This record gives sequence, C-alpha cells and structure tokens, in this order.
Amino acid sequence: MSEPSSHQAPRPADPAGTEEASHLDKVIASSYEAGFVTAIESETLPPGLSEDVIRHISAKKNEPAWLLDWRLAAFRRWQGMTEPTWAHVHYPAVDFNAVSYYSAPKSMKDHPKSLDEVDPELLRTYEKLGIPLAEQAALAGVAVDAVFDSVSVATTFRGKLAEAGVIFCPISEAVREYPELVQKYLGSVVPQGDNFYAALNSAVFSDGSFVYIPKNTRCPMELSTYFRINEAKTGQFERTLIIADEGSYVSYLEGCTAPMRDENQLHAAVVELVALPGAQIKYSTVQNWYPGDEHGRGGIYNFVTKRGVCHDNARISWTQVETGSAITWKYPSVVLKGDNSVGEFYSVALTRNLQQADTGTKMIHLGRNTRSTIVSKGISVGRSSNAYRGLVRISPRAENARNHTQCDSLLIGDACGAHTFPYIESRNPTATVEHEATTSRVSEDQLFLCRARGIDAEKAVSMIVNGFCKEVFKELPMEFAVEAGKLLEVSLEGSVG
Amino acid sequence: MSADHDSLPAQALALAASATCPAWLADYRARAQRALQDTAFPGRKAEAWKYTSLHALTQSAALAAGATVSRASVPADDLPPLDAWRVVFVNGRYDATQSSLPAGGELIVAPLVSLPDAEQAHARALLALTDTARLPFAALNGAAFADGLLVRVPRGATAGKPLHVVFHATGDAPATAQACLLVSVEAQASLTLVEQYTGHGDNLFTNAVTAIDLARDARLVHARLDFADHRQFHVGSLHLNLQGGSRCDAWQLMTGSRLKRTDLACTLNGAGAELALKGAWLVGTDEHADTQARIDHAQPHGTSDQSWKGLVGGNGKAVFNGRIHIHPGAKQTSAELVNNNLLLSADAEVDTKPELEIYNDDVKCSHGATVGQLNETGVFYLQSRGIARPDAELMLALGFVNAMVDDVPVPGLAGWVHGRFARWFAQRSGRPGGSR
Repeated sequence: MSEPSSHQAPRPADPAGTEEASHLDKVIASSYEAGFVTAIESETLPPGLSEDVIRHISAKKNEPAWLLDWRLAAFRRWQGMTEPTWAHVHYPAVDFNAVSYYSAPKSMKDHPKSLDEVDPELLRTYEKLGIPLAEQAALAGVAVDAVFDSVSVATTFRGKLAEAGVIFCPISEAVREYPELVQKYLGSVVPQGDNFYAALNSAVFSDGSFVYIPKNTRCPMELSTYFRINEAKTGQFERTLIIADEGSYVSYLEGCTAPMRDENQLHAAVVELVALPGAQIKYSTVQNWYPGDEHGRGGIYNFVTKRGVCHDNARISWTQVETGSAITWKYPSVVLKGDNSVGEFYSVALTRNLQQADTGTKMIHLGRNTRSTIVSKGISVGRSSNAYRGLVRISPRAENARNHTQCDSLLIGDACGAHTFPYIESRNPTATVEHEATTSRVSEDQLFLCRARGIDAEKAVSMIVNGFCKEVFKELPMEFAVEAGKLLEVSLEGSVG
Repeated sequence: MSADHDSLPAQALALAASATCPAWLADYRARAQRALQDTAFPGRKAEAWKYTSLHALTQSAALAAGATVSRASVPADDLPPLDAWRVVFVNGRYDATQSSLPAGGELIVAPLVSLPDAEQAHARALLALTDTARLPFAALNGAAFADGLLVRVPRGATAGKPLHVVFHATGDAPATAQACLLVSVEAQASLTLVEQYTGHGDNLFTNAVTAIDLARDARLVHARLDFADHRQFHVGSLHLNLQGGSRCDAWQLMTGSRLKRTDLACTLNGAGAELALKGAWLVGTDEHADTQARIDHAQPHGTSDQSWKGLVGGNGKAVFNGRIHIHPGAKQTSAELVNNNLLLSADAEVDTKPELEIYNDDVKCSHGATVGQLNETGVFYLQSRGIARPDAELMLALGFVNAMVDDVPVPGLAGWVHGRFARWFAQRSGRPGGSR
C-alpha cells in the first residue's frame, strides 16, 4: 500500500495493488512447509464404521470389556444423531463411511524401548518438522509424547515425571495400568452423547494422552504432545484426559502440523480437563494443520470438543493459536462448577485463502464468585471466513460471578469475512457480564507511520498484527510464544492490503 | 411442543381466509398466504426463537378467535400529550371519530380500505419491503390484515406537525388484531412519526407490520411506543429501507408483556445513509420481551449507531439480538451497537447476543453488551445523603432508562414516557421501591 488513501481508489487502477497482488500470489503459491508424506508401512482398517470396526479397534488395543461397552454405547448414540449445521462454515458433507477409523505404524509391534529403536523414518519426520525428539527433550526440558497417527511410539522423561508421581502416558496404556482413574473420569466432562463429533470420538478414539498430577504437586516440566496426521484418508480421533488432583499444577502444550493431502481429512478430537479443588491447568495449543490450497482444495476438517471442569478454587486456562485447518469448529470451554473457580480463554485465530473458522469458547458459571476472562483475536486474510462464537452463561446460583469478554477482529483484504456471535445468558442479579468487540483493519495511519520510519509494509503489518495478538501471546509458555509469533509471520507473508 | 407450533398455520390460514381485502391488495395477500402455507411456525430449536417460546400464544384463545369489531375510545391516559395529527385504529380497524387527518398536501394519510387509486402503487411498493418469507408473523399479517394506514410525504415536503398513529387493542373476548402501517418519505422530505400500541384486557393478540421507505436525502424521526397491557400478546416487525443520504432517528420504547417480540429489519440501501437507534425495554413480573434488531449495510459510507438498555425485574425475561451485517460492497461503513442491562431481581433473566457479520475490510465496527446490577456505590452515595434505599434504587434505575428518551425531538413525549417508566417500576418491577 504505497499511499495512505489508496484504499479509496478502485483497485485495478492502483499499480501498487497489482504489485502486491503478484507478490501475494507468489506467497500463496509457496507450498506448505510441513507438507510431506512419510513412507512407513501402516496397518490400516478399510474405510467404514460399524460395531465390528469398534470391536476390532478395542481388540487391537487389548481393552477391557467396560471400555468396549462404553465405545459401543457411544456408537449407538452417534447413530441417532445428526451433524450440527449451526456453525458459520460451509463444506461438502463428510462421508463417514469413507473414513478409515484405525491406523497404526507397523513398527509399533516391536515396541521400541528407547529412541534408538524407533523407526528412523519416523524420527526423520520429526526432524523435518523441527522437533528432533531427543534433542528437544534434552534441551528444553520438555517431555514429548509424540503421537504419530494413532499410536504413541515414543515417550520421554517418564522417569523424571514418575519421581514426582506424575502420570503422563498414552491413554491406551492408562486404560491398562490405571483403569480406576480412567474409568472414573473418562466421559465425565464430555459425555458420550455430548455432540455428534464427541460421540463419534467416544466410539472410535484411537489414542491420545493421559495425564494425572497427584495432590499438591507442581508438575516439574511442561508436558507436550505433537500430533501428526499421516495416513491418507485416516480420521484422527484423539482422546486426551488430564486430571489435576487437589492443589496441583500442570502446563500442557499441544502443537500440530500435518502433511499435505488432496482429500479432506477428518479430525474429531476430545479433550477433557478435570481441575479438582485448588488445582490449575494451563492448556496451550498451536495448531497449524494443512489448511488446503488457494482454491480451498484439501485441508483438515477440525471438529474438536474441548472442555474442562473447575472444582472449588480451581483454574483452567485455554490458550490457542490457530492458523491451520480448512474448517475449524472448536470451542474450548470451562464449566465453573466450584465456588471461586476461574476460567480463561485466550485465542488467536488466523484464516487465509478459503479457510473457515468458527471458534470461541463457553464459560458456564455455576459456582459462587466464579470468574472468567475471554480474549479472542481473529485475523481474516484473503477470502477466508473467521467467526467468534461464545457463550457466557450465569446460572441462578452463581452469586457475584464475573465475566469479561473482549473479542477483536482484524481484516486484511476486501473479500474476507469476520463475524462475532456472542451469546450472553444471565440469570443472577449479582453477576456482572461485559462483552466488547471491535472490528478494524490495519490502518493506513499505522502503516504510514511505520513506513515513514523505514519499516517496509510487510514488516509493519507483521508488527501490527503481533501487537494485536500480544495479549494472547503473553499467555503462552515462552518457547511456544516464539513459535506462534513465527507461525503468524509466515502466514501473513504477502498479505499486505 | 412442535405439534403446537405446527398447528398454528392451520388456525392462521383459517383467519386469513375470512379476511376481506380490496382488489389492488389481492396479489400481496396471495403471496403472503402462500408464504404462510410454506411456513412451519418456529419452535425453540430455530435460532431466532431460541429464547422465546410461542407456546402461550399458540395455546391462547386469542389466536384462534380472529378479529373483533368492537369499538372503544382510547383512554386519554394512554396517549402522550402531543401537538400532532392523530390516527387511531381500534382492534385493527380505522376509527374516524378519534382521528384528525391533515388536510394539506404536505402529508398524505389514508386508510388502506379506502385508498385513492393514485396511492395504491405506493402502498404496494411499501408492502414489498416486508420480509414475509423470513418472518412468519409478517406473512400472517399480510394474509389476514383487514385495514392499515398509508402515510406519504411527497418529494421535498415537510410535515408541519408530527403524526401520531395509535393501534389500540381492547375488549373482553379473546381476539387478534392485525396492524399495518406503511410510510413513504420521498426525496428531501421529512416527517416525525410516533407509532404507538396501546390496549387493555386479557387474551388479545396484536400482530403488527410497519414498512418504511426513506427516499434519497429524506429525514424521519420515528418513535415506536408499546406500553400496552402486560397481559396481551404482541408480535411486531419493522421494515426500514434507507436510500442514499437519508437519515432516520428512531426510538423503540416498550414495557414487557406476556409475549412481546419485535423484529427490526433495517437496510442501509444507499450510499451515506444514517441510522441512529435507541431503545429501552422494561420487563417485569410475568413479562417477556424479545427484540431482534438486524441492520444490513448494503451500500458504502453508511453509519448506524444503536444503543439499547434493559431493566429486568420480577421473574421477567428480556431477550436481545442485535445483528449487524456488512455486505461486501459497503466500504467505509461505521457501525456501533451497545446493549446494557440491569437485573433487578433474583429471578430475572437476560439473554443478549450482539452479532457482527462482516464481509469487507474497510469498516469500523464495534459492539458491546453488559449485564449487571444497580451500582451499590451509587446507592450508598444517595443513602449517605439521606435518600432512602428504595428511592435511591428508583432514581438509579429510572435514570438508566430515562436517558434513552431524553433527546426525542417531539415536544411532550419524553416526559410522558418517563412517567410510564416510573409507573412500570412501581407496579411491575418487583422492587420494594415499587410498592410506594
């Protein structure tokens, strides 16, 4: 944008615009950096879903009978449900019988005892993504439970965590080793029949992480899981369950990239958080799944149910940076069940090309003196659509409940959409609920100021956007914040308008 | 529940079939009847009806009863003291004895049943603005209304006095009244319009449609008042079309009733159109008020500014949905919306949803919503100056909503509305200040 007022001029007549357009095209045409396919033999079920498939998954994983029954009950609920259509997203119908519901790397059968035994092809995959497992674990002090497709293949720092009494393992393992914990809490936050995708996940979930932090324990390191979706046409149905016992603290990081695919890949994860009295859970996500090409072909369908329950004096904080997926349908929520509990939601969602995101949160205030904060920053670029959808509900007994919501949208390009749908339901006269939302674009004045100081337009936009998102980034663990900032910068390249 | 809603169109169609209409209206009526036949009346699963149940209405005798022809004069107490032309409809029919029509050519006012041939095209154009496909009650109105009013201000004219249109619903027997108000303010013309719904009695249902067109550079001041009996049902829609350079200053002022639902559909359909909208609802014991305001910015350089306030007491329930939709071509749009609510009692409920839907980057939009309670510090301040708590609460609550009407440019109106608000607080709010 060479002149401050050029937005008023018709675009075709603006030479600077044309130049930008070509630059934009170039950047858009650049391929997805994390897009590659690892050639590993996988054992994959043929597409389709039936009770037999569920029995097969369960048998493969040597699950106890109660879990199989639980899965089958979920499947029966799911059969009677219909896909939700209320979200502000449009996509061709998903054929749930064209999806394969189980895929495990073959080499898993050998059960690698250490990283040395892990399939080198797999390790190289992580290297390409910039997360050399051993190195990262050693350098950053982060234990990584890497999920490659559906089965966890490597877990590090188990010993150190075990010392503190922290359990951090694949959920399939937890089912065998800690059945009483899993049975007690699985589905306690997101019931089997909660919604269409949660029911589907409950029926066919493959693997995921299980975390238990004992009473009055501060988890000695940040826990991290990298998810990848690898097998073509394979649905990924992660199930994560985190239990923070009384007075404990845990910070959990989730980061994702996926290889380039032409066909849409369905992803329906469920994350359940349980914060028992006085516990704190901090859950951070950087999501950069393949968003599809510039014509909207391919890309991940991300239909996720994330929810936490806060007991007395507990706190749950969701922080997310979302730049990927063709379709995002995601509302990390907190049920503030206990008195004095706190829920937080910090989100940056960036959409470009033909990406569509309908994301937000729900804060359900049930207990007295419950507090919640929502900060949502949506950035729409190109022809994308970005919607915030939130619910703040104050129940009649939530005395002195407080909510503050701020939700800002930034538009870059004249063909994008930014939408806000905040639902506020208040049934207690002592509660205070505040919602504010603004929509703006990168202003000509801001750009002009930067350019006058020798900062080129692209850097300036990146700076402005970073400033726009600062409130959210500061909630991320530091190394994650750096990654998120870089991700945003890369995503914004060439989008100056 | 859904069976109840499905049964509504049958009753409504029966009503519609018995309604008579002049020949020039036949096309519109047929279209509305078709729309009605295609409509299943909404249940709570329909997004726009999530917080409002039609159950009480569909179960009431009012809907099945159809129109009544009883006559009654509007009590003087129900009418604000305005120096204005007045047109009165009683139970959906024009009442000449209570009306005083302007004689000059600067303001044409005519009931639809006796509309001069020259005005029929204007009325048809205004009826075309109503969204009968989206709003089932607008379709019901179109299919069943017996009379209505056309108001037209010719090009360049300025109406000398405000026009006060009263729709009065009264009677002992259950009944439904259809109200239809069509207003055209032509280019560079200007009008002040007070549209009022009044009424007494149980089991009466008023179904109102108002369609307003502002031509290029036209000006309209529009106050819509609804302080009818809280035992009545009221469903209304306002369809407002603003052409280039026109400006509308509008007020929506209401108390709750057994069922109150108001749909506003305003389209800024020309460059540089401006809309300023203020509203207040006071919803008390056994009352419900649902306001759905939808603003479409379809053209560039438009401005819309909305401010809504709600007082909710007793076991009342107030619902608000404020949707601002900015279309792709509507560059340089400025749109704002604020909704503040005070809950006065433990059983009161507010459900509010300010929505933004934006398809264009060259805009400035913001919205805000709050739900809270009377400021304790404020109450304490007044108490420390010797004002008893109930009085302090009354002052703060009324100050909150009175501010919405202070600047209505119709002499005599603001003071009268303040009085109505005070009466609501005394009788319906469920607050101790009320019993005094």
